[in-house]
Amino acid sequence: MKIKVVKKASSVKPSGFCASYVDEPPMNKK
Amino acid sequence: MQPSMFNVRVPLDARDETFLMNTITDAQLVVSSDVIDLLDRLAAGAAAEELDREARGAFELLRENGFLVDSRDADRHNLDTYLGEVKSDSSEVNVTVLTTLQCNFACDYCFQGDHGDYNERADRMSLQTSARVAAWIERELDRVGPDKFVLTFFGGEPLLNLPVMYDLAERAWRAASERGITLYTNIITNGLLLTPDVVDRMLPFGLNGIKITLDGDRDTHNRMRPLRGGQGTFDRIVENVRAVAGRVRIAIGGNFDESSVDSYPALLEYLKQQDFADKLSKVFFKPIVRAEAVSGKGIIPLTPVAAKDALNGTCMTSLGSGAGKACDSCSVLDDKLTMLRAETRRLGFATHDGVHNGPCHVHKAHAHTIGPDGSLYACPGFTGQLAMSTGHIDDRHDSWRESARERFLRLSPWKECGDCAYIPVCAGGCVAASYSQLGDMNVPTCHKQSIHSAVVALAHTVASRS
Repeated sequence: MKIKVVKKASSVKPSGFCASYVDEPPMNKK
Repeated sequence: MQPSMFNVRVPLDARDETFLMNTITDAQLVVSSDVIDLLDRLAAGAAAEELDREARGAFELLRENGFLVDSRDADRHNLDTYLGEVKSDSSEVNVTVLTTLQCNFACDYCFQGDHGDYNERADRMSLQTSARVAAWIERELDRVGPDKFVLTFFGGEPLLNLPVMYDLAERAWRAASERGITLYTNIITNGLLLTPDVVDRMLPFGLNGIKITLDGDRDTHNRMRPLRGGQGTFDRIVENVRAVAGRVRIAIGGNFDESSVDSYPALLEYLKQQDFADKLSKVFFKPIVRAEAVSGKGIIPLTPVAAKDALNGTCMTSLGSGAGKACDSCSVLDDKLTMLRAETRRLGFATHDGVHNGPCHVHKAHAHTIGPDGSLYACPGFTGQLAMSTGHIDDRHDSWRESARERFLRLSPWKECGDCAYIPVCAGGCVAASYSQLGDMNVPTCHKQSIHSAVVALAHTVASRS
């Protein structure tokens, strides 16, 4: 059985991308 | 143990492998077909004790990464915990300030309609209110105690009210610095009035990035986003970007519909040829919801179940007018979005993957939008509806605002989404769209097809790297 781990489980929460507006709250990470 | 309901599989046919993702833990694997067989056996009721040594090793790795859970109840519990943590997360305070609802553009798709005397009536924040917003921010930072403070200037067009933006940015920077909090200041602008002077004025106060919109190639953009007098804006915006690129992170956005989407590859090629191409931090395009819905052949559009309610709030598409129907973009334009995302990546621009979306700020207790009059909202989409205000910077206690705040805190549109694997990255879709198009912000607007297309693209991107 082959398993390649691309990304481990994480508890980091999403930044909250908004796909509905003309513009979304952007880039809240450096 | 059984497979989690939040597992997503994408077969990689050419390799006899499968991409696995769990949307609640964000774990991502590429596995051989016998691992998929193992998941299917466990789903059918096989016990861990029955597994041989090799399968047991795979079992443990799958369990550690959230792909196996004790029961469906455990999945539900994990989801409740996850969404609860998103809501109460105090590591970040996020404030979007609408310094003005005035705008110098007359975008083809804007909810402001024919743009006649809009600017004469549109609200504009005063310097007095700016000072009160800053005082509220200080109280909020003391109350929440975050590590990070994200301040976004939005509108209308925020550069039409520079005195307030400068004043508030400086006050916010001072407040964050005094408390040891990292400040990230962003500006969402149409770019027409963006100059090096504006950037230089803001850089000492935590300026992190500027988002600018280009809606297709030159001719298409000039048709979609003209000045109120009808003049084109593309050339001047590009020159403004060139003038500030390298001083600050610049993200390019764009809004496409069926009439403009085919010009976007030309825009991407144009951007790639510019001397500032490698200075762009992100390029991402999204579909527009229009009053005249676009439906694919054979697709029956969803019908709103209640009277549409115009939001008339901040800068937004006709979504804000209550126009369009839920899931409009899940048809023809969805495929175009996938194509544009691939093309953006092919040309070497960083872009949003379309998978890691929400839950958006409306589901976060410490994310607020502040209108020009100092009213607080859960989301920019509601800023034209005073009755949906959740508070005020003066901390005044109005029962109707308290009531609205309670309604937003109780939001749970995903409860109608059944066992959809995408709830952790969607949370039931856009609440503003549900409110304006379906008459109830607590029912979901589904874009499952769009998210799944993005997962498929992510899977193949991952596969191409390995």
